Amino acid sequence: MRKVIGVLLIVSFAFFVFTLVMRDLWVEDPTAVRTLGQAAIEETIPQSGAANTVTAIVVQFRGLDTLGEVTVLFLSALGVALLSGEFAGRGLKEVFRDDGGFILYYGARLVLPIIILVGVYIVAHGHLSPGGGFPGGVLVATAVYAVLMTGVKKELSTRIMAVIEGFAGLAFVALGLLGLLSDRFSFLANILPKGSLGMVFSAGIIPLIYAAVGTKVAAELSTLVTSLTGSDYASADTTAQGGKR
Amino acid sequence: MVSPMLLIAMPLGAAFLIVLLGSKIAARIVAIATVAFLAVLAPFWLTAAISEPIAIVLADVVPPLGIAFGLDAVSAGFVLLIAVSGLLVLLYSLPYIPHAGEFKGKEKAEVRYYAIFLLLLAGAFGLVMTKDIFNLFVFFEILCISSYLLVAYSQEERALEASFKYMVLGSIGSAFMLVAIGLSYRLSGSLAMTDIAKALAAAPASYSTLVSVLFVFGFGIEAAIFPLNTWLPDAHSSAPSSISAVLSGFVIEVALVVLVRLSLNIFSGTMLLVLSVLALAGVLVGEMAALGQKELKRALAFSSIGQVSMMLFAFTLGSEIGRWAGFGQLLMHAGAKSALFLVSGYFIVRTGSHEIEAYRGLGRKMPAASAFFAIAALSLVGMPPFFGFFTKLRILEAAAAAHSGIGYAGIVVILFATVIESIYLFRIVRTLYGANAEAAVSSSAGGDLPVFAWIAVAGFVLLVLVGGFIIPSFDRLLQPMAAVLATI
Amino acid sequence: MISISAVLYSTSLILILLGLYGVLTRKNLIRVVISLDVVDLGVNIFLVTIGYVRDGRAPIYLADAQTSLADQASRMVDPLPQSLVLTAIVIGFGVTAVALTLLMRLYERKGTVMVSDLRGLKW
Repeated sequence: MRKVIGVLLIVSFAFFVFTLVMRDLWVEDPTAVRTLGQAAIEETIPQSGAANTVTAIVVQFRGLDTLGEVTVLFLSALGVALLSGEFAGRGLKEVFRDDGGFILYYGARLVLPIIILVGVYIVAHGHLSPGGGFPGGVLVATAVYAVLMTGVKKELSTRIMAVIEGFAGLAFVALGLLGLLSDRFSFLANILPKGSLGMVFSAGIIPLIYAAVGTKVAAELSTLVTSLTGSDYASADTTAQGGKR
Repeated sequence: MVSPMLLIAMPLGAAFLIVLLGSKIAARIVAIATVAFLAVLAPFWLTAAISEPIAIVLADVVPPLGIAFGLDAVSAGFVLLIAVSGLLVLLYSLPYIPHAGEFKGKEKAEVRYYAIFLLLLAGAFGLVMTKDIFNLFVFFEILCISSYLLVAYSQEERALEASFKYMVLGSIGSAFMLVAIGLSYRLSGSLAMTDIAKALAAAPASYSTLVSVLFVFGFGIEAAIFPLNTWLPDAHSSAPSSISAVLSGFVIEVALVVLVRLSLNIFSGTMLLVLSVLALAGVLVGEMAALGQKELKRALAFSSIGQVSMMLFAFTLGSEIGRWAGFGQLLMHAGAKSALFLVSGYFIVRTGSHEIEAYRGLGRKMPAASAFFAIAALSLVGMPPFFGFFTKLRILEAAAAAHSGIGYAGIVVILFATVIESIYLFRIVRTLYGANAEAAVSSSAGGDLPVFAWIAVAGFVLLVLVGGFIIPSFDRLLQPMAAVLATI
Repeated sequence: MISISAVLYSTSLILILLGLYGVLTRKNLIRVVISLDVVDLGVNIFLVTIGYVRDGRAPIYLADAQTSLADQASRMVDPLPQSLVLTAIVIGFGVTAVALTLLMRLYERKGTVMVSDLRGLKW
């Protein structure tokens, strides 16, 4: 019964969209971009000094959206940690019965620094090439997953990750507030010198913001997996507290 | 003049700080200090915004390239409401939260509660201040995700289930909103609401219809518009009572007002009519469902559906007096419903039960709590001389002044709903003060409300108690808000 | 010749519809979450396609290329939808992570993730 209603709803919705709107969209591919995109392309180098227009938009022109996005990730990490209290202390030993042998043991240790290096590279070059804080942070977090999955370490301390997370977040907000305190009186204004196009140390505060974002994302994703697999460092309150409630 | 960007920067920074420090005491102090600071600044921003909207330039980039942001009368009014409500609920949370659920990791969870609460406030602040459609989406997501998490806080089965349902519906809504944003950008080449409004007005009808429907779907889920509100009774009743108060008190209302603002300025006129009809349906369904509830918080949750639908009806009448009435009702409901939920929290703690029958005779064991409950309930029904009477009366006046079929239908529906409301609310109050007190007395431990909870509830009740008498001063606030709502 | 953007728009629409169908009809809640993911995917593809320009290049300036900067600028695709999608992907990921954690907790409590056994989830 539900399937029938579901199909009916979907079909009517599809019909609605198709007949009314898709007509307009089935045209030749456009040859020029829309106003806002055009403005962004033109203003990237003069206003931000970055070579990557998407980064200029994400970090500078629409920096508040990125702050919001970072906040959403922060919320997810908090939420997962909040809901994972029951998993604490279990670890992955229930899932992985044997230890993977020689290749896993040495291979993991060999590959880890490379993963981290590539991740940091991507974060640092966010304003010059595709990438930036988010993919770079994810890559660094992948290194942490590798650590857990291959048994290099059985437990990780979410406390340290929380400290890193908090610091990185505060750094982002502080960079924004610097803009407020400067003569431009604008939150998240790009107050540092723009430098020359194509250098790593250019584009004002953009690399700094991406560095904060990258660190935060890496810390958050690591917390996510650590909480979910129960590989939390044995913390004080996983055992029953005394009588006081 | 202090920059209103502090409304975003401070709660975010405070939340990061709380997680950094990781201690419960630090969390409480930081949270309360932050919100208190903002609540003190809010009236100043309000008086400034009423005389002239405060425009804020972000990242030193002006719209349309940058994000359009600012504080006008509507935003500033909401900022005051959110900040004060947030502060009172935080005070209430101090003694209450340790009672909200039993699970492993409770100590650290409390720290996270305060952090997530602050982020909820930041999301709400951003939502009312932004004039850019994608920024709206981002802050909306912050608000939604904080709510999903806080609903699930107690980690009881029903809370987890309610949160999941809420989350699934909310995600679909967000997806639709994104499609609408994409379509708007494609049409207008900009993300600023003013530009989109102009472009949609000139667009073919089918296009703007699709965009409006998608938006209404997206926001309607969060604003609890019938029939998109199936998640609400479970979520508001399973959440910790402090969160129920916040959700019913301002979260759904903020979503509602944003939706109304978009409808008035960007969407076509038929959308308003559709919303009016849905609103009346919501009033009926909400109040009738509340009648049959045996659990207090579920009854209150259904009542919220009914009350918010009344607000929606008032807003969609299309007249300034209608909007005025809607804002009045919003303010009253924030005070009354928050008080009701906060008190119910302690009814549950003291008796260990969610059911109304278990509260029989609590009027004697918990005199202050019950008195507060009774006053708030009377105001909600609309009994003079409480605030609720005047706000409801004004809605009826606005409906009559509309001289339209829907206006008259609205009068009938609201009067009928008032009768229903009085039936179940009086029933609850009678139970509280009823005879046969053994059930409550034996199982309730620890007396009346703790100090901070008392202060918080008193704050909300004060609003509905004196609101009726200081209507003229409220009108100086509400009238500009009503006027500004029709602009974007 | 069908334009590329038409193909992409159709794909995104189909994905969104498939995902919605999944959310409405699947009994296993993990599949519901996956369907939500599919909807997100469809929406993101839709957003990126809005920025498509025929014969466009990636919106990144190359400082040492043969073409001038102005020349490069005239052939770029629209960078704005890409930035929107960047944010949307992250937000979608956050929601999925929390939803799955909720399901893990529910599974622990009840031993099942089928809708029929979870009484609170009747629509």
